Amino acid sequence: MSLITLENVMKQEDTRTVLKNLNLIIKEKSQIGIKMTNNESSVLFKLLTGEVTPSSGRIEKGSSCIATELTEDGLYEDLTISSYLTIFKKIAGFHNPLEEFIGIFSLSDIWNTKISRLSLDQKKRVSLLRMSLFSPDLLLIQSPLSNSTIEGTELYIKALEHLKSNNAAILFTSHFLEELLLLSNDIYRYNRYIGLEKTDLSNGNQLTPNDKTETGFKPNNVYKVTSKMADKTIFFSPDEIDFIESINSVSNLRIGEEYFPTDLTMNELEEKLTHFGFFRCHRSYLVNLQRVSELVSYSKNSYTLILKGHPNVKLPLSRSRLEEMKTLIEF
Amino acid sequence: MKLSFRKINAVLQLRLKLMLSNMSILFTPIFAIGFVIVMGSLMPEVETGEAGAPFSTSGFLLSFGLIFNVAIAGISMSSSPIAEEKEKHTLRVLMTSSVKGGEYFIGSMIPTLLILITTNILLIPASGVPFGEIPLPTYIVITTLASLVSILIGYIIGIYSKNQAQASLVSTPILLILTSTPVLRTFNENLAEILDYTYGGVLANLAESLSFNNEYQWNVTDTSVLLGSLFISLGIFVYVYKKNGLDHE
Repeated sequence: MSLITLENVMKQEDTRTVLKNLNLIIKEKSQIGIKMTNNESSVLFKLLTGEVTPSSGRIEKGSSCIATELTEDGLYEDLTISSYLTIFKKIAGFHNPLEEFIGIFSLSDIWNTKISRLSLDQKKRVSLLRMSLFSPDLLLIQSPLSNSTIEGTELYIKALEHLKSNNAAILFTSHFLEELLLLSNDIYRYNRYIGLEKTDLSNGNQLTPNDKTETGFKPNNVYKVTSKMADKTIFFSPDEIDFIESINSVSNLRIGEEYFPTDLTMNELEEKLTHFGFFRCHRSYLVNLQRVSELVSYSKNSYTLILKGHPNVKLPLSRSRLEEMKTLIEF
Repeated sequence: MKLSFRKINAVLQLRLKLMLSNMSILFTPIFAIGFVIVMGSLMPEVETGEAGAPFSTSGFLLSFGLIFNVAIAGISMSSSPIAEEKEKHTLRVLMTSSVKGGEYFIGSMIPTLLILITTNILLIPASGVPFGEIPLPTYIVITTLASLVSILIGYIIGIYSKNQAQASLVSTPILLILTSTPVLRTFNENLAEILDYTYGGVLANLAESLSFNNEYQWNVTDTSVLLGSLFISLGIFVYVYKKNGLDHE
């Protein structure tokens, strides 16, 4: 059952387009992660909760109980966890005793501690318990693990299991893909030119040699660049990559503002990606020509490529490669 | 708008717990009583008609204490928590937890109003006005209505302010005008007549007439001024709330 459906949603604020081309279906029990900025995320949450209406497109809501948490949200620091949650229990009209949940949210030893004395990890779990008291169908959470410790992350994920068992769908947004990998099953990246793009994910142990050999069918024109993060392997379509940079002999895929390391060498990548419009502009750089917006010549022998949407990123272009590039893109 | 008693009660408990955990908000009402006691011990006792001036020390102290409590404490105790909640980003959490604006305002208003009423009563013995001669119901009705006006003014300031510093800055000129009412009334008769049409002036009139051992007489002017102030502040409050919401960015 889908809780919320977004169709070609666009939102403008003060004549500036904050979000566009949003197509997303949030189903019951789903755990979705979207990589986007905090500002984009705040506007998306307002759209989903109905606080603001979209400038264009359609939002269909099948859920009325939505709980949200923004990074900046505060707790009443002068109260103890017990007092704080008792108040919200009354507001929510929640009937079960809070003590049942203390262990699930790992708050047993700090139950009567003032919130001002809690660590960021503990505060995040208090917020999560507060939201769960409202038995929401959908939770919208912004960057819950930013600045969290390893133990804090583990306990937060454990607490999330409780919400999952109550059939709640959760949508996380974060600026960091690594955080979303830990929290979500489906991950999207928001690109202000394209909209929402789904990132292919596969768990590290899901690919076995037998799977490869037993499959008879092999499509010819499909190629994805892989990057291993934590226990997952992320697949990037060539058109998602802005450029690839070799740093200390490791090839790094640059996507938006982030870098993702890959095991392939620059030569291997050049060989594979040339067919997808990539060009080796420098010994250490492989650029997606579709993303190039300007060619600047600062001196007779020095050329620089500037990419669409990244005016501060300047890629060197060897003089020897200039002619080759001219031929390729016919200018 | 249907309001939930359960949620009003929850907000009320929240406000009480916050007051108990951080007593600084009670500083102004306590200071009003303390200030009246200290001033009373320092000022010479002057009674009605002495030296030809219609002045009474106890009346002046009571009106000063009432203005101090009703205006300063009333406005700051209602504007400061809203501004603080905005500054610390706790208001958004509360408002997105299904609490309506009306429930928040009523729940927050009750403890503030009770503290103001209690302080207004305690100011009678503190100022030296004979307690037995006070028509308590009239006194409570007038001071409570004036306290409500202050709370509403505080809410308007709280809605407009983004943080506590801004709330203090906006409150200062309003508080300055209101607190100088008893003093300004003694300086100039024309000014006193103008100030009679403010709710601060009504409080000062009440305090003075009580201190002169006269029974306070309800009159059309005071009633109209009080009710007028209440409705005007309520109107502005509703307009500002509808225009800005509680936690506008």
